[in-house]
Amino acid sequence: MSILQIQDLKKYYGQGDHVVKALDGISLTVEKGEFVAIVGTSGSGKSTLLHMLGGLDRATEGKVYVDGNDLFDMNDDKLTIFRRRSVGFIFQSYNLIPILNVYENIVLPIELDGARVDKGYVNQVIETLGLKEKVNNLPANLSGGQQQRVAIARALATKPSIVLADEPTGNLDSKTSQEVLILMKQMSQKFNQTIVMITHNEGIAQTADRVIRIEDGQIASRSEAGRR
Amino acid sequence: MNKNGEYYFNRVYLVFSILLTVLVIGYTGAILYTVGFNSRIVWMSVLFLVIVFVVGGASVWSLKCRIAGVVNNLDDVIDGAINGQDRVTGYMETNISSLENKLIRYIDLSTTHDKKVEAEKNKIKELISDISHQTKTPLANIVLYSQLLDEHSHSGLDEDTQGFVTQIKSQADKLDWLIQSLIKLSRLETGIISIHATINPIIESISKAVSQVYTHAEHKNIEIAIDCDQAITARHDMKWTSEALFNIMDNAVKYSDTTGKIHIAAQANEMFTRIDISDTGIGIDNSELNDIFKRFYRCKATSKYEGVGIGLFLAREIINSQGGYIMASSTVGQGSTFSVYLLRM
Repeated sequence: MSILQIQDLKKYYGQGDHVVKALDGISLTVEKGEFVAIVGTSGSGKSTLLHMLGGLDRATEGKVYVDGNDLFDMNDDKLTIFRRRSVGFIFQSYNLIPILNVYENIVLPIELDGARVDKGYVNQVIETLGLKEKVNNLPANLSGGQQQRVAIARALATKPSIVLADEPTGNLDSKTSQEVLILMKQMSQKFNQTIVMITHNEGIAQTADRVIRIEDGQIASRSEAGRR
Repeated sequence: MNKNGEYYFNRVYLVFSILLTVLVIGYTGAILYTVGFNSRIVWMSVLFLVIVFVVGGASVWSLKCRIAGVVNNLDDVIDGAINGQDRVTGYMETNISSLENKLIRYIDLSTTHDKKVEAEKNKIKELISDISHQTKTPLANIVLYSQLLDEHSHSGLDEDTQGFVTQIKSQADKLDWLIQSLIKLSRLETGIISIHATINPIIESISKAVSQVYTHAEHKNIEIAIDCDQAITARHDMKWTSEALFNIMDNAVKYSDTTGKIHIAAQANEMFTRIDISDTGIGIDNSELNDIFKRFYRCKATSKYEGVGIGLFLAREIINSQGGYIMASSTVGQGSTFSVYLLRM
């Protein structure tokens, strides 16, 4: 079952001679439970692509379907609700709320949506990510790796259709990066969670199910990795 | 309740209260107009207006509470049905009750289906297990008789026959190893053997694995160096983890030339304890790095080596089932490094 479909996506900035083609005709399908890595140098268009998938920006041309919903067909109000419910975000800079403790940070998106917390599921996520003893700590008392794990838990807590990760290991040293990637892979397997991650870390081929390389707004290569 | 629903409700309330206000003011105005100005009528009208609003407000508020209650109740019902708890509403003459019953019936149907699929899968696994088990005895006999034949062969068998006997022996050994692995695998998969991961020092598991490959390594003059602090621990099942490590080390020995080196290093990181097993063997092509953990996969360059392609698959199964992870990196011609990550906590 495909959860994400991108059809001939184009995003141009500027006009006439000065047009910048950030994305120039990208088509891609992601299956449910897949862990896809999008790699490319800065300026290759990978961030623009991720913004499109999260409904943070609108395309010049083309379509994005998440779980059957046409993203560019929704108005801004609907898109906000859609993002809150169906998309989990993981950022390079963690973006945790400093005055809330770990548990409160994790369940925040659920409470923002006015929904009830599925305690069993959330506790399972917390345990798998090794955060059980840290739930009452404030983010400032955690290491970078721990903070990013909290951010992963927060992204998964709402059981979104898709988790989008924007350079999740950008602020971490190589050892911790590897651990975070392994955890993301394990989460995607254990909870059948679809994850699309952008990174310039080339050594991720062993953890992601599929690596897609983007150059100048186009898909340069796809590699099918070890799906299990 | 979602924001959208509340929004519609608020609009309905607004429209109706405006309508009501207009109605009451208009009616009072009409009476004042026909009867003429009368302070009593004005006073009564104001009182009437206030009472109408209080009663209206109260009824709207209670209705709102009621709706919130119904939604909460529904939430309970759905949670209960998903988690397979007893019926929340029981068998009552209400819409919610009948909805709950429908929901439970639907969930029952899908769980039955899931169970059927699961049972079928288990049947296949059992079949594999049975086949492996039943072939064990005849195979042991083949090995035994071929050994006997080999011993007898010194007394007058021609060279060709001697060669055939050696072939039979080596093939039977290979088959024996394959079946042993299959039995282990199917037992792991069917859960006959469960892995009990507890926090233990990893040095013991590493030493155990090393001791199993040591003779083979010594035979090929391969040096094994271990760089592991005694204090490093990890959550793992010692018996099975050393089996996994053995499979990796066995490959390291097998695919290294004589006078090669195997380096085993362990370090404790934030979440995982990492064990690196590096060799100076033939290496793995980058395009095959993700396939080597697949069942029965053999690298193209390894056709001249003995093996069936099950060791790394078994290793990955063992490591993954205790919450760990395994990966490989390699340079062709220079060697490979296998990294085993085991949970620390």
